[in-house]
Amino acid sequence: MSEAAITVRKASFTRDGFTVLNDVSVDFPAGRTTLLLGPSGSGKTTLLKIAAGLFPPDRGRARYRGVDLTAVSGEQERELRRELGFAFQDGALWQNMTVFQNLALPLQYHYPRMLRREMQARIDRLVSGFPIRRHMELRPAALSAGERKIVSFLRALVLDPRVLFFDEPTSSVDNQSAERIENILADRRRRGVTLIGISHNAQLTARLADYLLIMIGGAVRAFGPVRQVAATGDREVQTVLSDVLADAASFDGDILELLDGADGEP
Amino acid sequence: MSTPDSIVRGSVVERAGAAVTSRIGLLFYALGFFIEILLETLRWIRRRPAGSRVLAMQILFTGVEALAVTAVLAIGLGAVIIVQGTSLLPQFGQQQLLYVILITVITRELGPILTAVIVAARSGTAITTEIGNMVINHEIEAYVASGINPISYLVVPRFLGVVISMVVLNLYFNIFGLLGSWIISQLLQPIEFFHYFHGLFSALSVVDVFSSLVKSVVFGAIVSTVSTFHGFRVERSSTEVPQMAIKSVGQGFILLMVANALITLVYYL
Repeated sequence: MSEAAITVRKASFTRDGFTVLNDVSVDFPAGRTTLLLGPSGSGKTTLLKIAAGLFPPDRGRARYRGVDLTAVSGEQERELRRELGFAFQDGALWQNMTVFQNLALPLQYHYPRMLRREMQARIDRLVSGFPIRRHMELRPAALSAGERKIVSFLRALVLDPRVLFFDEPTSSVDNQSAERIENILADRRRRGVTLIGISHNAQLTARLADYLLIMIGGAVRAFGPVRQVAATGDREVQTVLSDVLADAASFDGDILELLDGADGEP
Repeated sequence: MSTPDSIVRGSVVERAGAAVTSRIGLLFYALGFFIEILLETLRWIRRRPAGSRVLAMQILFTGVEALAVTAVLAIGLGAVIIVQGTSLLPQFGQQQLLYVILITVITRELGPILTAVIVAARSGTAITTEIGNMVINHEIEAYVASGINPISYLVVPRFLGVVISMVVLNLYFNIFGLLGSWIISQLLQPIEFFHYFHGLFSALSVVDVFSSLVKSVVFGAIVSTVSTFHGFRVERSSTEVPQMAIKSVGQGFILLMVANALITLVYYL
């Protein structure tokens, strides 16, 4: 396995007496794509947010380049955060800003001297190919769920991160935009960006995943290269794979066949 | 061996202890939050990052849009003091005290505190509600994810905006309370213009102005800190937002009264 980009150690998280994550330790390989799969409520989003340092676990740590993400502050945090992008499942757009302002704010904050012309060009490149480019002056309340998701995905890319976290970026999104998102992810993967995400999209999983992490009941059930995980005899893992990748039902072949596009052990 | 009675007593004591511990913990957390705001404010002033627009909007909402209500309150209060003073004080041969009373009530005491109450009720609740809704919509997480420090980008401009607005509104309160009320009082109890302002400036000291200014700054800091703090205390549900807004106003008022009493006490030492 390659060197770890993000390390999660013994992370536990409890909410309202319910254990969401239970003693999870994972090394997310640098420059590779790791997809988290599991039934709803299995703790995937919580693990993703803890790995991204968005909130601290009750116990345990998440580190990026050896730095504890929940303990970092000041200028060091600004620098580290520039390298981490996060696309939210529900968009999490800033409601009092237009689409353009949502995309421009991270640039304005991190590069206060960037010229407006340069910023505009960068955002134009980012939105090209997405129908949202025609609604740049709308506020999030006027957008559909899919459009909000696209803007959130693009906002995560605007600082050109070295690690990109994404949570279901293609669900509720039209086919053309979903394909564009897949292409962007594939391009980032080629350029060595570490991708860590959640997706129930079988095509995206087959095309991009290097590693699969199967979560059940707040714990890691299986983690490893795609072929190794897909070939496991664990019935629960197989159930998750075929349930989560619902498209599998339409395929006659087994999980391995479905994931045939995956590279396996990199 | 513990009896059922002692278990009940024990659990009451335990609950009370836990409540006190929790309150003390919250107090220290709030103090830490305030120190973080002060540090980020210093950094913000040095760097002048992307929050300038938020600051301008905060001054517009807290300062400019509160002018009308402040003016009405100040004129009403000043006019009452002038009318009552000019009719009651001469009966005791103390008409010269009118100006001391005006300066004491409007400039030193009620001006700052009433302005603070207006700002806490209008802007404090709005700030708590806005930040609370941002927490629920995961907007705060999005700021963190984008490397934008929420204290620096959201809290500092509101802190500065409320403090600046409070100072300016207090100045307006004084102008309307002392000048506007004189105009209104001309309809009921005319006082000669030069005589009135000569009396006012004779009664006004530098310490009065300084005390009023200090109160404005302290009250602005209290309202903005309490309202942002409670906004961030919202965790998951939209029903928490009005609860926190109410707490923000209630605790804000208590802290304002305590701070007012302390500053007034220092004034008389």
